[in-house]
Amino acid sequence: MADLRFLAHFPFIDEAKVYAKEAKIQLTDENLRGGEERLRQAISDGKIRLLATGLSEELERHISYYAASRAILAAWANNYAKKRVAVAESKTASDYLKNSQDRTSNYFELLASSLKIKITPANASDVQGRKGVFLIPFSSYLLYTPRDIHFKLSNMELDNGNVKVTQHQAERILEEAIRKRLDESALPRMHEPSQQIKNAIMRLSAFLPKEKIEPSKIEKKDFPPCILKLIEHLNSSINVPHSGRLALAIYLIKAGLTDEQIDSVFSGAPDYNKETTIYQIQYIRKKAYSVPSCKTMDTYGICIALCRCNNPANYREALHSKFAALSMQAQKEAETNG
Amino acid sequence: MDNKTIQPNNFDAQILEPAVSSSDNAVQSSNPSSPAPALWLQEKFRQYYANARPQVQQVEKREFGFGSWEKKIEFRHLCFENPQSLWMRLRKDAPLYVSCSAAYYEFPANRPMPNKHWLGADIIFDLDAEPDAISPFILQKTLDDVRSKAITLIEDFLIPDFGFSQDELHVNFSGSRGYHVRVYHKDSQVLGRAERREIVDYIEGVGLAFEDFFSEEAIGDSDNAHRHFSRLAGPSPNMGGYKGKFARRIIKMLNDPASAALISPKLKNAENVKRLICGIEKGNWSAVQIPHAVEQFRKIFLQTSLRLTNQVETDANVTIDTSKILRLPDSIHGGSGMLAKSIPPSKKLCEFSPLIDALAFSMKKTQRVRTLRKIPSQEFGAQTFDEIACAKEIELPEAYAIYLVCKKTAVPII
Repeated sequence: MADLRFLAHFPFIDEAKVYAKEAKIQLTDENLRGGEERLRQAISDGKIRLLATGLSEELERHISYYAASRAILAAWANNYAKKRVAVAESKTASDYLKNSQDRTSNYFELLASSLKIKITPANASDVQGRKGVFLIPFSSYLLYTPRDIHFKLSNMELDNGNVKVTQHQAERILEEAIRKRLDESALPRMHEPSQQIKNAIMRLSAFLPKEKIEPSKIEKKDFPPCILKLIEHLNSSINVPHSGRLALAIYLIKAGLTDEQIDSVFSGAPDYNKETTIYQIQYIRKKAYSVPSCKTMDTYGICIALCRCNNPANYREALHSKFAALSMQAQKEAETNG
Repeated sequence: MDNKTIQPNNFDAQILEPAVSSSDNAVQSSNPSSPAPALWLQEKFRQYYANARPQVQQVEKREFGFGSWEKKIEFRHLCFENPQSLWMRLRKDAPLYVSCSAAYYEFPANRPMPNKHWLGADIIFDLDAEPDAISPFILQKTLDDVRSKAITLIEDFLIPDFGFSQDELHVNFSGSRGYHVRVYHKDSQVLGRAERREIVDYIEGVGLAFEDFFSEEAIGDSDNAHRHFSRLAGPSPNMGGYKGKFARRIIKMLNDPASAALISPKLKNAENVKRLICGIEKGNWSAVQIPHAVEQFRKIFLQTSLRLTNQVETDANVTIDTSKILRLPDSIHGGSGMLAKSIPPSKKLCEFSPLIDALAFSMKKTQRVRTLRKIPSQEFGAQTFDEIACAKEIELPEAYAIYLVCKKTAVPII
């Protein structure tokens, strides 16, 4: 059994659930307040404050607060909140992992094993003399890596069913595995939530993004299917990979949207941070990047239709010329028939 | 023929049953409008299925589809409780095409697709030669090319890179122009479309970033900038993935004096070659100073086919589509009358010859046919057949006659 500190740092693992059950953790007022605060930090800051001490009382409280936060989230049934919290919890867990590197504890292996991911240290006799290299089965690698060119399997060392990853990549994979687990797992079932929980939800709702540009507010009829899909994902708080965000931002800049409008589109991202988003939009605008070609979009795994426009930026033109051709043909036919 | 034919409307009504799991509520894949050759073929296929036992793992979780003379997949969403009920149904209906899902479902007969409750899917690679625009016939050379591509896929990618064992791989001739390589690997069954796309991209080398292969590494006295020099760090042959493949390919080239000299004139010198090979083995690509080395290696990289090339198409959609149905191994392909023959592990793929080993019918019995077009001279069943003129009545070995009828280039004379 993992120690209490480990359970408090990673309270979403099965061992922590067993602990909470055995310790008969209840939804007391204090736990609900702690759970609400945990959710507030996740939603408004995108991260949860790390535990400073290792006092067993505090560690146990931390597990209780996590349990209470899940109960509130279950009663809330808000998709955005669920996804945003999943991202925040996974980032927080990643920070604990990084902080544990200097310690003697084998956090990394323990957490991977709890998540049922087989990550093993690579043979020390790496010819490049690289340190901190791990092996991960390719199926787990594919399931838990972000769809990003830097994680593309073609560029990885794949040998005998295992992908060689650096410590940093392995941490990122665990972070993604945690996010996916929390995002896809069912929340505890509740009958009628208590008044305290209802009040907590009301207070937490104030931290949700105020205004989001719905796809209908953007003149989107000329947007290619890949771009519409990315917007749709953001609106549904589905995590969009870095390559997708970059392509979308470039496209929207070229489409003439303002920084504020583009920021609103991204506000649905589960790891949204206004300051970072605005900075990145401005940076992309300054760099004047071109919209990635359809081929590149396909490589990123975000091309979803065979619209044959070679570049999403050409879609509007291709669409119009197609309509123009069809309309001319219809006119010709009408004249012939007439 | 004593087979009952069911009107199309009734047919649909029966197919719509949520679980068609026994032969009692069997449906006929022939209908009153089926042309005579189709009915004749169906009778032949029925004779084959009287003794055949096509197998697929976990038959009860698979979706099946049957096809006819007109359509390769006319009806799908069929399921069978066990292999016996599948075999009975094949004997009774003798469909011209039998397809089976790569996927496992909780309720294979349910529809629409989400109601089937997808449980996972085998990874399948479909290697096919491009169809010939002029001739419908299959050439030995074409089949040899696809087979060598299938061997490359297995021996260069699936076994060394993905780590699949021989026992986890099932290879069968597609029954027409290529091969299906099916991977039974439990951990991979849950992979979705995006993950399968990554596997295809890996095999086809899509998104390879050559610039990540090399880096300049500073070595020497870090306190004295003047004494700094750099070495070109690159992949070593024992690395996995394309990096290792590339290093091994270059070492192979270096071991051939003519190829080595093409990389750089300096490599005409055997001592230099030896030094460079020793360096590459340790990841040092500047053991011999080659001018514009990275550019030179990039050119070789682009010229070398480390990836599965486009000479033979790997149908990416088959691998990516987690609800695809495709030819049931050891069933007959209605477009050739040949078997989608499984290649047993005991037989080497390089020794398998579809035009000899995948015949479902006899080369000893004969059948009279009338040709509908000129039939070119071709190899079939270890024989070479002469050209046959159009509209000629001729006695041929049964297997070859069925092949020509399936290709719609002859009709049987009964």
